[in-house]
Amino acid sequence: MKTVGLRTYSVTTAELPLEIEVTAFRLPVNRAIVGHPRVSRGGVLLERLVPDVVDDPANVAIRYQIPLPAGTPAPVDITQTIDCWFADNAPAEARYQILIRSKNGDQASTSVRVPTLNPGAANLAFRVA
Amino acid sequence: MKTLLILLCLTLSPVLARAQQFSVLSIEIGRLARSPDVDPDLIVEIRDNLWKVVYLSAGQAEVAEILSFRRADIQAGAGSGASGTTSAVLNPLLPAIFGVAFEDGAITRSVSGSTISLKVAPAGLICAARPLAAAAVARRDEEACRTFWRRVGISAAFDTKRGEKSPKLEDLQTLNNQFAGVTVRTEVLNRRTASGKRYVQTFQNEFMAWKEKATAFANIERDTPEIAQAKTLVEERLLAVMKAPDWKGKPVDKRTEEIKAVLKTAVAQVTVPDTQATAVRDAWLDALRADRALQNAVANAPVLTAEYAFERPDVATEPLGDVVAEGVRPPSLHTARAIYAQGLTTTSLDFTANASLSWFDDVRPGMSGSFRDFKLGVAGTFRLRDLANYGAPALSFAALYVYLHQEPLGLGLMAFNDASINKPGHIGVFQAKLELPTAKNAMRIPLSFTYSNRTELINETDVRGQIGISFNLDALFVDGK
Repeated sequence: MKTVGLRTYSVTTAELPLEIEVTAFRLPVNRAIVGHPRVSRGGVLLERLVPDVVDDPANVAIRYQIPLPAGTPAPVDITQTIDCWFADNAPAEARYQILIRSKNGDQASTSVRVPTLNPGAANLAFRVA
Repeated sequence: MKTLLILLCLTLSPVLARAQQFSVLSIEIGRLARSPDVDPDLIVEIRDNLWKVVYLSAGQAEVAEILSFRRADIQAGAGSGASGTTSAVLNPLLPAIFGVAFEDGAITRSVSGSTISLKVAPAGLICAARPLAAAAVARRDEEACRTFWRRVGISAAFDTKRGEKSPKLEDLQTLNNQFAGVTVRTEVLNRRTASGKRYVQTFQNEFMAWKEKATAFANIERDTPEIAQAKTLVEERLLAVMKAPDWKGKPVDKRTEEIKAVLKTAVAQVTVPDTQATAVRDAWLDALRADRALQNAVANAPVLTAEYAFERPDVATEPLGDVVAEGVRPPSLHTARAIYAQGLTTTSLDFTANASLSWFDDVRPGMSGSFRDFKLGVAGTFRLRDLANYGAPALSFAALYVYLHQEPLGLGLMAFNDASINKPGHIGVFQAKLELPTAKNAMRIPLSFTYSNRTELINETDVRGQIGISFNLDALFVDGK
């Protein structure tokens, strides 16, 4: 997995599924909402994936996978929005850390900080070759 | 010409309206403008939230309501914890780490002199000593100080006008003689600081309702091809602006202008079909309303605090009735108090109730037993909207009933406002108070209006106003990053 732009990653089919973990820092609970990953080619939507989101027992982190799209051969683009919600009294250093791990162990991370207006959105893009 | 002008106005109006809507990215723009170095995370957070500017063009009824959910400022300081004696009903929370209050008769005449109260949460102080932990402890972050003792606070009062000074100690206070009392307080129940699994369980209904709306909103496609194009433009141009050699040398205001200029250009030509815009705004508003309901539920959750106070009176300089002779120390006093706070979940109204019982340490000839007084107070506090960089003002109405069974013997019964009650009997007090925050809640200025059925509480008239200042020094432990 290579980072090729801002929150944009190049992956091969062999590196899927991707394991994604969203962890809340300085917040009482994890309130990240994971949107459906969208599979497209040349800007045309081909498929919507439904992620199976698992909360950790302490409700601080969530985990899910982005699998190899079934029946849609590469190359494809997979895009996804993660909406991160913050409390009104969240401190300045509150954030959500998004960690992306590929099947071969590569890692990339990005974070979402307190927004002016909820939710703080993060758009992830994966170019699957 | 006229037609041309009208056409120009119609063309420009969405652009001008959007320029105002950059306020929905004010925190993100501020962070980027303050960064001297290229930080991709700061650029990408503007890029990924650009849709907010596009969907909040003026003219729609729901836009104003969505904008009302903007945060005035990030709460860098801890919430109000310290309470001075201007309150008829006590706040259930102690400072998370350290607080100090100085009370003197600036407008009111102080009966017992000037008192300095030191309030400390010992476990909080120990936890705050760890590197990087102080700010989190001050915010009452449960993760930062995981111990039961975090809920226990101690306060000690020193009367600065007590004791005699040796000429050799002219500039020093004789602390041994000034010790006036100690209070131990513990939070028996505080659901407002629930976190993790307990948060989800405690606020289950509101949490699930919010999650449903937020999930529906997250699954709406917000990026049209035009918005996607604008995002690419924003990313490229902001990177170019930050990489320019003169970026570091520019003042923050100038950087902010440049960032806004980039955004203005990027969104100028973006239009969204009405059906799409309405769907996004409606779902967004539903999610924001559900979020507000959840946050109200947290802010209004119950808090129960138990308190024990031990007070040691000064040696009597004149006889106190037939019980205490001149030159003798009156009996010490014990007070047990319960403080309960609970809000109405759909409003910003918080109720606080106090009940306390006081008794003397020993019964001396002439006293009618050890029982001294009973107090019951109820207050309703409206949390008003945050003022940017100041905090949230609070408007409260309080009623207090006091039954003084016998003479207070050296320790005047403090009802509120530093006014002492000495004559046994029934006392009723009503108080209206506006508490104005300053310096991000580190200092609050209360303005109060009080009425009482007993005029000896108020020396000159039975109706008066008071102003006081209390400091919550927890804010000193919180960085402003």
